[in-house]
Amino acid sequence: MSVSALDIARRVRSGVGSAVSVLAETRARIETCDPAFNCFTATTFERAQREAAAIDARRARGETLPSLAGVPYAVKNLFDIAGVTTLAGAKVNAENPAAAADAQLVVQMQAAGAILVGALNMDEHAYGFTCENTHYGATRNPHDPSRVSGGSSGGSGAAVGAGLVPLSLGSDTGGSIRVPASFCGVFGLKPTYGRLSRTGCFPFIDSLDHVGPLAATVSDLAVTYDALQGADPRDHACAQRDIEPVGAAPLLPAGTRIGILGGWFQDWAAPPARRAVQMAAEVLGATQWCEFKSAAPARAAAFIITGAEGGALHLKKLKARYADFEPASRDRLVAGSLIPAAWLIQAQRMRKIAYDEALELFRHFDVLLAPAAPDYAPLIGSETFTLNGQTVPTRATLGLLTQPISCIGLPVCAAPIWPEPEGINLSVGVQLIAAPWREDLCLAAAATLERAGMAHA
Amino acid sequence: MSESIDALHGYVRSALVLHGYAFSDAQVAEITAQFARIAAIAETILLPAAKPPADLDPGTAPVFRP
Repeated sequence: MSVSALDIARRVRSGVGSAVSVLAETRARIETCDPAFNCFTATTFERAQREAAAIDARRARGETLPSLAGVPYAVKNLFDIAGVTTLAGAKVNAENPAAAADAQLVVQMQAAGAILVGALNMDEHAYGFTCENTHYGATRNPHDPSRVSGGSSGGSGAAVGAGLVPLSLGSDTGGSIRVPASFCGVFGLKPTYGRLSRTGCFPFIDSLDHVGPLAATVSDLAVTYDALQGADPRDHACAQRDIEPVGAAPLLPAGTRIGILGGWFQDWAAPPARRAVQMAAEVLGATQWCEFKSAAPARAAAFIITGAEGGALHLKKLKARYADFEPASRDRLVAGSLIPAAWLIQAQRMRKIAYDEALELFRHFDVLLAPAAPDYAPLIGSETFTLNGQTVPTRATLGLLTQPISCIGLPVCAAPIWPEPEGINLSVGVQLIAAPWREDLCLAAAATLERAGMAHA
Repeated sequence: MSESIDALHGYVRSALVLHGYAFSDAQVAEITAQFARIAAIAETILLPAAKPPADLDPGTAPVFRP
């Protein structure tokens, strides 16, 4: 079971434990357990040792330590780490020079006192929902290693779910934080598009890329999110907003109106996912159903934008090194590079329509509840699975419930629900969706589920 | 898109040449299959019968910002 980041920080701040000793325990855990899950593609223990010693030295000098002092964490391997080659899950990036500097969010984590222990596996170029990477291996589900971890931030989900680290950073373009959080039984936050800086992250789809944290508790998630906030003029999408801290114990305001998303979000959900929503709704006191009619076109828009931008981004390398790309996604990338401009423009127009409809929904509700994945994590290697009696393609289906929300940039917290507490030990997440810039409500709703014992790592 | 797979195949083959790709016939067939899937999903927002209707202004596509 995972160790709470805030507990570690409290121990380090009080002197009950040292950052160096926490790191030693973490290193031993990673070296012993990671071979079973394949979360890490690189470790940074020498750097971590320096960072941990620096934290302990600050405490010895009597300094006030920051919020995540001595807390080990790791990042999806599309975040730049100074001295490490940024793979973004790709063989074609393996010969690139090492990053000269840390990604902006890694800089901010260091400022918060966190200790970076390594880089985590992902689907190649973040184009996938299973983290079955032909070059670097599949990352396995911490609760059933025969199943996928989810993707594309599979290493980030599994490393927290397996208790290797209490925190990780991931990215989410169409569901890549929420799907692995759902399958690995952890909390994940996809903030509002433009909330957190992407400087120093290998891009996938500039129009849709978000970054965010994953954690074993809502408090850990919220405090990490607070540490990651801040405007960054180097990222053109990053909003020039003041930091709006959530704090460690977010509470839902009295009278919060929670709507349950029907239609698309029930049609593509298997019984366990529907049950998870029902269980969460009961705890949250949600009884009113609503529909986001733009879900299907928003998902289509996200799909087209992803194909077109992704194909264009990798066009040059695809021509030169097609054979070195991930077999599961390279033909999709090439096909995406052929999408007519008129389709892409129409997709961008569709986002505005969908966004306006969502804002209308938020006149009636403060938080929307929906499943984060259609079902439990599928078995590794499964090309298809059965959803409500239909055989559906695994890779194409896992993001159906997250893509419509990414398309319009709303903040979402994924909270892990265990629909069969007496049965199989697998989670399926729910999405707690709020209006733009209201991450506080997403986190408060997740905290309500956690306090009731309904959502937990 | 309701075009036949042959029409899509022709488009894909031509567009691949335009981009400077060089693929075998088998690879072109696979890429065509992927493109056909994209085209099928695109119908949701491109056809006149799309719900919501595709009666979007023919003007600019706004840069999305929440």
